[in-house]
Amino acid sequence: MSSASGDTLSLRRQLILYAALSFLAFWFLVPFAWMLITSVKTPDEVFSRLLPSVLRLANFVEIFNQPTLPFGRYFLNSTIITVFGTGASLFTSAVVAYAFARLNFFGRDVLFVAVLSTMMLPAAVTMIPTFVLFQKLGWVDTFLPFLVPACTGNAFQIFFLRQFFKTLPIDLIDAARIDGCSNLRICLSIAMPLAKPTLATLAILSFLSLWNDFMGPLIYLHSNEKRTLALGLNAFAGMYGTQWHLLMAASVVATVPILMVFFMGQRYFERGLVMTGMKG
Amino acid sequence: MKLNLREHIEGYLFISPWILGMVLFALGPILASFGLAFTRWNLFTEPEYVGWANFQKLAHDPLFYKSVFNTIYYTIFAVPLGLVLALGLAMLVNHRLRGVNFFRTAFFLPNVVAGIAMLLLWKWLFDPNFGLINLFLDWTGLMAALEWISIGRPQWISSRAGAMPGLVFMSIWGLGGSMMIFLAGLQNIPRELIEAAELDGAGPWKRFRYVTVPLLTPTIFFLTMVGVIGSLQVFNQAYVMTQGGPAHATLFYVLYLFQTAFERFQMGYACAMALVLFIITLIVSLIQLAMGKKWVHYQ
Amino acid sequence: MDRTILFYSLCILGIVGLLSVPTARSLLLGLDTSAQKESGRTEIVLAGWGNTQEVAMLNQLMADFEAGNPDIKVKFIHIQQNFNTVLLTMMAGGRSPDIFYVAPVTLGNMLSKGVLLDLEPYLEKSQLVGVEDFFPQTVEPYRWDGKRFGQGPIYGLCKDWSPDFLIFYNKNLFDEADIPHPDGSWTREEFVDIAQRLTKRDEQGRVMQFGVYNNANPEQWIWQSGGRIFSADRRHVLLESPEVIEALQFAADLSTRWHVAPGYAEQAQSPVNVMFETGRVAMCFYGQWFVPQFRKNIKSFAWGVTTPPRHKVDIYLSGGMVGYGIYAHTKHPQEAWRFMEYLVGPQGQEAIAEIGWNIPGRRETAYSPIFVENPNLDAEITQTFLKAAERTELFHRSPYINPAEYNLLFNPEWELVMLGEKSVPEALADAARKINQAIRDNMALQKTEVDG
Repeated sequence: MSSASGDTLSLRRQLILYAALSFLAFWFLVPFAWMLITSVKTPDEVFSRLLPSVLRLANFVEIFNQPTLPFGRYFLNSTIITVFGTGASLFTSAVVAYAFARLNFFGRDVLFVAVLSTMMLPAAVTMIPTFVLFQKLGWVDTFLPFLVPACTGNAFQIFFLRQFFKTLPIDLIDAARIDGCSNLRICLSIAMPLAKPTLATLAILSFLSLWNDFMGPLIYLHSNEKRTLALGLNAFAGMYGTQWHLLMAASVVATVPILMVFFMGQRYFERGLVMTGMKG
Repeated sequence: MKLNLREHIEGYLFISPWILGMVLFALGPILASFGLAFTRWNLFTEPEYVGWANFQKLAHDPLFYKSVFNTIYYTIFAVPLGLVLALGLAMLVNHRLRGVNFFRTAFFLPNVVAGIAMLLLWKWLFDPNFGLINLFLDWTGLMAALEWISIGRPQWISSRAGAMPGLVFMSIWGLGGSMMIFLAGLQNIPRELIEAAELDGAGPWKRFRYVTVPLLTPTIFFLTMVGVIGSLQVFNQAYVMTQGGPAHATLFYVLYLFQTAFERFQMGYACAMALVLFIITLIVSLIQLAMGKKWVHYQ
Repeated sequence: MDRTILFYSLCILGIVGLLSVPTARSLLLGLDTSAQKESGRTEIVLAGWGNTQEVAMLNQLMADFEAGNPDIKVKFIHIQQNFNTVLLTMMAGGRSPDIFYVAPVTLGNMLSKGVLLDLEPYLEKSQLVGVEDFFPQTVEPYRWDGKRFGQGPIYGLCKDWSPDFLIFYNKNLFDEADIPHPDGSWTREEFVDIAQRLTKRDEQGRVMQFGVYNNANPEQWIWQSGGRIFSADRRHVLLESPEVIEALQFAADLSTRWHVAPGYAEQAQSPVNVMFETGRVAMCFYGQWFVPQFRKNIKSFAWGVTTPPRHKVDIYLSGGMVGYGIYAHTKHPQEAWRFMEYLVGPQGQEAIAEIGWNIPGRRETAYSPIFVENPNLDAEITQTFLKAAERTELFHRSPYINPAEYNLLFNPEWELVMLGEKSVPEALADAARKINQAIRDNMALQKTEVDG
C-alpha cells in the first residue's frame, strides 16, 4: 500500500506537523478529558477547580446505588442488544453479501440496487408503521424490535461485505468448488474468515451505532428495567440535573465498553476501511 | 449465463433473510405510510380516511417549514464544513510519522464516545455562564474581543441566534469517521501519480488540486451522500440538548416528526411528514447522483 | 460435515435452546414472564414512577398486600420518564397495566380516550374507603360527567399531594442581606423588592446569586390573579384574558424586567434544586415532596418555607398531585380494585405518611402524628404545608389536549417572551390561537367518544 506523502520529512516539517497535530488532538480530546476529570471530582470542585484535588472514586459507586436508575441493569440491556444485534446482523449480512457477490441468480443486480436504496432510506420514514407493527405483535417494551430486524441483516453491512467478497480471487472459490464444497461452506469457512478485517470494522461500527442508539430505545423500551444506558443517562440528567460529577461518572461507565471494543478492533479498523475501499 | 436452477434457488435462499427484512421493515412500512398518510389516527380510534387533508395541513403548517428550514440550514453548514476539515485532517495524518496512529485515534475518538453522554456534556460546555467554552473565551480574552466587535457574549444553545451555530460547531467533533474514510481514499492513490506530477513541476497546491482531489471524488461523493442523508435525520442533539428550542430554533425535521407521532399521537399527520421526508431524500439522492456523474472520476 | 458449519449450527441450536428457558427469554429478549397461570393467582400490574424511597415503599406495600391476599400477585412496572405518553402507547398496544398513577394533569386526556374505570360502584360497596375521607379538592378533578369536572362518576383517588409552589428560602442569605424572614404576608411588590436585594452580580455583570428562581407553574400566578387557563367546558384556553396576561406579565418581569430570576439561558441549563442547594438562588418554589431531599442535601445553611406573595385571590396550586386509576378494560377489575383500595386505604396512606415525602390524600392520615410528627420532617414546615393545603386547588386540564401537546404549543411562545423577543399579550394570543386550533382538531378526531 502506498502512502501519498510517504517520503521522509525534514525535521523542521516534522516538528511543525507534530505541533499542528498535537494542537488539534488536544481540542478533539478536551470534551472526553473533561468528562473523565469531572467524573472523579467532588461536587464542590466541579465548578471551582480545573483539576480535582482528590480522586473521588465514590462517584462510581454512587451511580450504581440508585435503585430507581439501575445502571447495572441498563448496562446489561445495552450489552445484550448490542452484542446479539451485532452478531446476528453481521452473520446474516455476510451470507447475503456472499450471494450477491458470488452466486448467479435471477434478478441479482436489481435486488442489489434495492440494497443500496435501503441504505439511503432514513429510519424516520419507516418509524411509525414499524412501531405499529411491533405494537400489534406485542413487542413493545421487549428487545425484539432490536434483535429481530438485526437477524435479517443490514444493508450497509451487506454492501461492504459484498465489495470485499468481490475482491476474492476467483481461483480460490473455483478450487473449493472442485473439492466439492457447497456454497454455504465456501461462504462460512473460506470467505468469512478472509473477511475478518472487514467484519471487524463493521462490527465496531455496528457496536457503536447500537450502543449509542437513542431513538429506538426511546420509542420501544418503556419500563425502567428494560431501558438501555443511553435512555438511563438521559433520565439521570433529567432527575439529578447538573450533579455533574455523578452524571459524568455514569457517562464514563457508558463509554468504557465502546472504547474497549474500539481499541480491541482498532488494528483491523483502518485496514478494513481501506480494503473495503471507496472505489465506488 | 447458463441457467442453473440450483444456483438460482441457492441464491434466493442465501438472501432470503434480507428479502424478509426488506419486505417487513422497509417496503411494507413505506407502503403502510402511504396508506396512513391519508388518515387521521391517534392510535386509539380506528384510522379515518381524510383524503389529502394531512398534506393540505402540512402546506399551511409554519412548524413544518421551520423544521425544513432548520434541517437544510444545518445540512448546508455542517456537511461541507465537516468534509473540508475531515479532508484536511486526513491529509495531516497521512504523513509517515512516528506516533501518527495516536493522532488518528485521537481524531476518531469523539465518534466512539458519541452517545448521549457526550451530548449531555456538550450541553454543559455550551452553558453561557458556567460552560467550558465561554469560560475559555473569558480566560483567553477572546470574549472581550467578541464584545468589542459587538457580537456580545455567545449564548450558544440558549439563544435563537446561537443554537444552530452551536450545533454545527459541535458537529466538527464528529468528523473522525469521514477523516478515516478520506484517509483510506488517500492511501489508495497510487504514489506514482503524485511523483509524476511532481516531476512535471506541480507544486503542492497543484498536486492537491489536480491529482489528489480528482482521485478523491468518489470518496467525496460518497461522504456527501452519507453526510446529507445523515443531516436530514438529526434527532438526538435536538431531543437531548434543546428539545427543539429555544422557540423552535432547533426544531429539526425528525424531531418534529417524532413529537407529532409520539407526543401528540397524530399518527396520520406524522406519516404524511414521513412520506415528505422520503420524497425529499429521494430527490436529494437523485440530484446528487445526477451531479455526481459530472464531477466524479472513477479510476 | 464441515467444522465451521457445525460450529454455526451449534451456535444457533444453542441460542434456540437457551431461549426455551423462560428466564433467559426475559433476560435476553426482554419478554415478560407472565405468572398469570401460576397456581391460580391473578396477576395485577401497577405502573408508576417514583424515587428510591417510594419504590421501596411500594414494594413493601405489595408484599404486605400479597400476604393478606394470597390469590393476587402484584407486579410493579417502573416508568420514570414520559409516563403519560408511555402509558397511552401501552394501552394502544393492548398491554395496559391494571392500575396506574393518574395525575389530574394527565387525567383529562385519559378520560377522552375512555380508558379509566368508573370507581363509583366499587366505592359504594367498600368498607375501607370513601370519597369523604379525602381532601375534597383532591376528589373534584377525578369526577367527570362528560361535560364538566367535579360532578359525575369518579375515575381516581388521590395517593399524595401538596401545594406545589410554596416558597423555599435560604435563611442565611436573608440574614446576610438583613432582611427579616418572610411570614407569607408579603405583597408582590415587597416580594420583588426583596428578590432584588437578594440578587448579586459580579464585576462583569454576571449574576452570581439570584433572588428567586421562578419555577412556579404559571397557574400559581394566574389563579392568584383570578384567571384560569381553560374555560369551564375545557374547550378553549383563556390565555388572552386580562387576568392571565397580568399574571404572566408578572412572571416574565421577574426575569426580563427586574432580572431577579434566571432568564432563559440560565433557566434552561441549571436545575433549580441544585442552584438552591448551592446557595446560588435565595428563593424557589416547591411542594412538600422536596422537603426530604433538601433536608438531606443542604447542610451549610438554614432554610424555611413560606407562602408566595399575596395577590387578588388567596389560593395555592397543586400540579404534582398523583392518584391511582384502574384501566377500564382490565380483565380483573375486582382484584385491581382490591389492591387499589389497599393503596388508598389507611394502610397504604400511612406508608406514605411514614416516608413523609408528600401529604397523604386522606385527610385523617395527613393530620395524624405519623405525618405531623414525622421525624424525617420539620414540624413547622409541615404545618405551613398543611395550612396551605386547605386553600389549595388542582390544575385544570382539558380532555381535549394532552399536556405534552399543550407544552409543545405553549413553550416556544413563552421562550420568546423569556428571550425578550415577544410581548406577553402577543405571545399569549398566538399560543391561544394554536392551542384552540389543536383542541378543535382533537375534538374532531375524538368525535365518537365526545358525543357518545
